[in-house]
Amino acid sequence: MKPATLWLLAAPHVQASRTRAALVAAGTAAAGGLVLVTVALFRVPAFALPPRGSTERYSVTYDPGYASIVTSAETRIGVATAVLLVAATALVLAWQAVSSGSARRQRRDHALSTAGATPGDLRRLGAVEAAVAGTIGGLLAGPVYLLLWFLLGPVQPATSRLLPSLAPADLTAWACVVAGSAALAAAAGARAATRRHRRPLSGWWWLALSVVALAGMVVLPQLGQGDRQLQVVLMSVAVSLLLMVALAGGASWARAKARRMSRRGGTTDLLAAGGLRALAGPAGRAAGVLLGVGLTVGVATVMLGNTLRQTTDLGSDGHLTGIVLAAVAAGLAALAGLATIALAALDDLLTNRRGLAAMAAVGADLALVQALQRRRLRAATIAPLVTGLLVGGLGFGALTAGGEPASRSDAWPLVVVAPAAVALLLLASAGIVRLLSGRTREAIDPANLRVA
Amino acid sequence: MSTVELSGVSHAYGRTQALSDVSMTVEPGEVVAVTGPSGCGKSTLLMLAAGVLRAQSGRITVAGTDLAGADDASRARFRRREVGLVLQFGQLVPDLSVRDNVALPLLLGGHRPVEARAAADGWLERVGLDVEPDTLPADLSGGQAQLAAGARALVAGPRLLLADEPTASLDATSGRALLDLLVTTTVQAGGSVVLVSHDNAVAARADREIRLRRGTVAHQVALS
Amino acid sequence: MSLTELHLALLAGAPRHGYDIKQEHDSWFPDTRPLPYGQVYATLARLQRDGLAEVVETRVDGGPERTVYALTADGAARLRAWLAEPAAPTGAGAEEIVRKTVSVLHTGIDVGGFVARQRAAHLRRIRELQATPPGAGPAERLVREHLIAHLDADLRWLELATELLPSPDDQPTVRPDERKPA
Repeated sequence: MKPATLWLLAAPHVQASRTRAALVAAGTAAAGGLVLVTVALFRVPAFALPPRGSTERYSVTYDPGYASIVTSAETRIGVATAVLLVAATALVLAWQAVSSGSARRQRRDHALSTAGATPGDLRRLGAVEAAVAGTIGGLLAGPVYLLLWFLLGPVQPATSRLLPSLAPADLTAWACVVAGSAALAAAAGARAATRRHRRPLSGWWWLALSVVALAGMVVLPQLGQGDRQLQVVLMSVAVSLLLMVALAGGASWARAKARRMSRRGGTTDLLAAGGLRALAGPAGRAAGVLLGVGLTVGVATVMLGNTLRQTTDLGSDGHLTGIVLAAVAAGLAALAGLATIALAALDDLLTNRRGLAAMAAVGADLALVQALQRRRLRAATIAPLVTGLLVGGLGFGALTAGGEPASRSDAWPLVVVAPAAVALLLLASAGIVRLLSGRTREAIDPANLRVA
Repeated sequence: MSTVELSGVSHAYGRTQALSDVSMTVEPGEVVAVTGPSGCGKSTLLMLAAGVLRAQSGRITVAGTDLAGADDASRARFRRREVGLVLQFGQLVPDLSVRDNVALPLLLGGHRPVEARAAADGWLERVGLDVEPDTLPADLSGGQAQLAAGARALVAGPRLLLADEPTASLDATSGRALLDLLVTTTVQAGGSVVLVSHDNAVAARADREIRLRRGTVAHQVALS
Repeated sequence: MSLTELHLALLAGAPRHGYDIKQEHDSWFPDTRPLPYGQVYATLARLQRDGLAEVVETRVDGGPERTVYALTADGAARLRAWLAEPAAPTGAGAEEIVRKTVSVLHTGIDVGGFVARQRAAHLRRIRELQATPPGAGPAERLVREHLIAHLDADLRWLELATELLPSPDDQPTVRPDERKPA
């Protein structure tokens, strides 16, 4: 295929592919902006904390210009991890937009392949399409960073800024982000256009990997005993490892969940199980994201409990900012995770019209189809969120409690936070189903049965 | 009381008039064949009688339910309760296994999954579909999907069985076997059957033929 | 054989003489044996004797003298009665259904009704044949299937006849002027 032909085919001709390209660009722009924020964070002058038990705990980290959480080397890494977590979720959303084959694109690829396009041609086409959107996203990352810098820098009171003033290094970083996002998007586009018939890893493999990741979470921080900075680094590595396993293993988990629902559940479970199996990939990614969200919120909750117990401490102000930031980051990640599965559900509505219309013809009405959609969304998200909350909250509580018996009770806000998070998730899933209701109504229209 | 009663029914897709001023009845226990060349409106007629489509004008009463006045939800409930539908090409739900597809009318009707699946297995055997019940529709041949669609139509014991080209993807022998099963099961239970087909062997199975031509009734003749 | 009625159909549109009738017949049924003159004249004489046709004119256009025949009221009634009966639904000897259908389309006498009756007759026969008596051997079933296949072929051919019709609403019973010139 000649480059000119690639360009011709890759240009977004229809509204659906423009929306897709916009989502890819938006996801990369958000992720790129957050990466720039992370890079800038490390330009803030930082100080290492004195060893535990020192009487001068907070005095060294005091700096008139910046909030304490970014000037302390140990918490800064935590903040960076949280920011990168949100960036990763934005990338998951962009990947979903790249990989979800809207019905029209699948038909186009099929037609091209029938007309003689080789799998390599299709891969190149997918790469070019995604790379264009990725480059736009990378360019937009600059403005996104400027906005975030403005909000976290100048807007903040002079004593609690999170980001340093702009520097030439930002430009260099931006150029790297543009190149990186273009390359990443091209790779993602090529991969999405490759038909793979991989056998998914068995449940036992995933169990083993999860055990390794969990063990890593417990063991790695122990290795750094004494050196708190190293401990935090190792902790971040362990958390990232767990998240990668969760994101990659999500699909297998979703399939297993669908099997269980189909075998043991009631009628709604049984009927929703089919849809969950069909959307195992995106549902698994959403599950992975929500596990991460649960972990973050769990840890933040225990930190909140800890802070509330020590309200007299000088550093509580800085910690509160950190907790709020973590909660906001978790909320954004949760939204992106839900958007991932909503995007997949929308794609499913567009591709699976005849199936839904057939279901409606047998006697399912709109209300029932929507109940199935809600069930599917909740099946994929609630269990991971609760698991994350409990593991994050209780695990972090147990780890930090260490020798201080008083902090054992720091997990108490979980009693309030966990039900609230679940309630928010229930509301969000109902909202998504409501947003999709127009498309759902179109999909169950019996006119779809007439198309052979 | 007739099982199906259409009077002065018209329906159009956009500017294409599919049916104009059609009137017909189907009596309890009767088998009616609706025949005609492609595009004559026979599938539209079937969808209207099933309550899947809503007539743009005219009156449709099926099993005592006035379909023209019913909203989407109550027409869906009506289909679960009264109608067995065999559509062209099978039209199974791709996300559900063959067994769950067959069990669907019972599941929607509020039966327990265990019972519904047991009933589905029984009907899969009776239609002669010899596949693993957990198979997904994508792995079935056209003929197998049609057998499954037949089982799905019969599983809830409908008062009205509506079939659109029910044997199109089957060979002559298995097609006739499925048709016999659809007709005898329904009629013995006192139900009525409407067969839409352009296959004369299917039409000959009916007690009466209603022939459509360009959206109107060309003729009606008794065959029994 | 229904040659008598076929001659009535050939006369239905307009009065004709023997040569015209032969030409018309041969154009209606291009695939059958041409009608011998002797048979045309013999049949016309028989029709006249039975009061089904009458001589309306004797024409001399330069050539030999030609006697022009027309249907009588009795003849028209006999033709309608013939077309009101569908052809027997038999597998072999399908000539009759071809004759009747072609006559119906040419004369335009109650085409819709004819098609309905013919379909009913054939479908009823298929229905009988499908109900294989219990204990019938494979050979007997095979004979039945052969008959069904023939009847099905007839019906499909008849469907073409319906498609040739202009519209179900505007069918005059007789349209003599629509005939093709011989």
